[in-house]
Amino acid sequence: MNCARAIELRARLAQLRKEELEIEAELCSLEASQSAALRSPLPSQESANVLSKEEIRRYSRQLLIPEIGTKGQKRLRDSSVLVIGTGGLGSPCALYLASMGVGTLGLVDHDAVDHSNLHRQIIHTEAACSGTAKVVSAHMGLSRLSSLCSVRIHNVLLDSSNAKGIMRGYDVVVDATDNAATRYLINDACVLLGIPLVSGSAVRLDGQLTVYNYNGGPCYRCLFPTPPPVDTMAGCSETGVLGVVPGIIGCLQAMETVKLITGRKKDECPSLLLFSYASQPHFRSIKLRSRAAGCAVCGDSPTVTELVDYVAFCGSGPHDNAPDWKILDDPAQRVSCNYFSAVRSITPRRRHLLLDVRSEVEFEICSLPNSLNIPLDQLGRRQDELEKAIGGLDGGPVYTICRRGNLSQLAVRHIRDKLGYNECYDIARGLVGWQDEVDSDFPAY
Amino acid sequence: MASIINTENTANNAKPLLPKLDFSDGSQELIVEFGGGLEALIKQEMLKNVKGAKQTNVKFPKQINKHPATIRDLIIHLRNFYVKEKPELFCTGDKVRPGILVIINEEDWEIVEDNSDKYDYELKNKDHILFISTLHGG
Repeated sequence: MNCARAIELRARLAQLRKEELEIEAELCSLEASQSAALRSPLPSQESANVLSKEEIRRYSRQLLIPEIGTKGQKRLRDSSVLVIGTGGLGSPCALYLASMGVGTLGLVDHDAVDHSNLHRQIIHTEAACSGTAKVVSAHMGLSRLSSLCSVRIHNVLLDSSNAKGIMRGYDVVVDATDNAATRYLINDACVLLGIPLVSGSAVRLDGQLTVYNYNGGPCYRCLFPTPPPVDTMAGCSETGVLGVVPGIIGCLQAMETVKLITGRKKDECPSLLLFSYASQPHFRSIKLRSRAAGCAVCGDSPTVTELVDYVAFCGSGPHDNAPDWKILDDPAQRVSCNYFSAVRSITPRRRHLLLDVRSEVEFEICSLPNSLNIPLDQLGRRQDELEKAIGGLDGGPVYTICRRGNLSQLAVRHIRDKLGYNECYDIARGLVGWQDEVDSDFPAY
Repeated sequence: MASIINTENTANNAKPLLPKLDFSDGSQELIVEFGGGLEALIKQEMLKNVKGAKQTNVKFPKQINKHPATIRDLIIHLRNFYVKEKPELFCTGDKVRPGILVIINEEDWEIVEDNSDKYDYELKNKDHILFISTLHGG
């Protein structure tokens, strides 16, 4: 093998991939700057056009299925679907909708592509991780796949002020988002606009799928009239998710969308599909209630007739996955990462204790040298171990650390209040801060 | 704020805490399953893994205070004796907290119970009750 040539080719590929994204971004911003009047309108009804030779060749394997056939394929072509969220669910969903021949796809996302997205958000690439907007990156993924699909992107955070304007006119809306406030927002907008909603979710090893607001079935609020407590809304960045799990649910969202467009869905009862990595069988279908007459938005006498403030309604919003808590009121009980770095370089190891209170799995990912790991919820049970470690300090300080400096504050309070040991300080901003302020080579997760 | 993470671990009991239930009017066997993350709220020694499902067999009286036992009685019993800490993450008072669906024999309990109050559903021997939390992530 000619090594020099291979190196040269790889470098060229990397350059081309970067350029492709830049061209895509410029194209997207050109299209966005077009006035709404110049844009082609969303298809309002089935066109009379027969399938072209190109369409027949491309979709032939689908045309052969009687349940789809030429009629179904034309319906897909003449339909428009809005996918909200181009993450773990939206990536496969949008890719399959475009590949199966949905004529118009809308994409909504406000985020930029990050390395921690790539294990599940398969529409995005490594090249896009240096700040490319997700909708631009997804636009590229779709335009590579199909020139027959018209894609329109919305690089915004969906909220009460813009939701109806963006969603109006679409035949189906796919909820591929990651937080409760946006889920209520999308649900209410779908009810107010009369659009069926294909809703998917995935966390850790579990996934759920439901079609809302369709054919006498329930809406999201019929099932969940009241938002859950804030501390039960775990997101992927905190609790993790196996890459393929949202992939499975996102693919199923694409399938349900096809059923809605071809009309097959109207023969089905409302149901909730449960998926789990570990369970046998993997899937269970739960029969759901019909629309609730007393529902606040889709009921007989609705009280929600316009979009409301969903962040206030839920107590948390799209950005609140990793809040910064202020638990310790006394700033003297907190030290900065830089301060602790100085402590480490001058204090002999035996004279201080670094207590890492993250979970064991997080501790295994990365930790600072010579730290003792006792997860926060085990501080009570492992009190002997902790007291022994503190006993060897000769009155020296205990520093507590966690991922972001939240749990470590609770640990300080525990050690001061329950153990009566006041030489105890929290390292503000935790390991995220350590990477940011002290050691850029320290891994972030 | 301190209630978000309870630093006290109260699940130290080596043996399950068995409630004082009155079986003089007969008993029934229920299968109670927890999903969508709720399994983490339950004392681990109470749960067994059946083909990946986190569930527990509950021996429950047929009658409570001379009335047929209802799912309301079961929920209070689970809250009192199966939830290891932070009962507010399972119940608000004696109702399941918002965001939890109750599934009886693979059907939404809103369908199963045609009475006005689904908490009045009368338990039957071998009922399979699934408590599942809605997921938000994606």
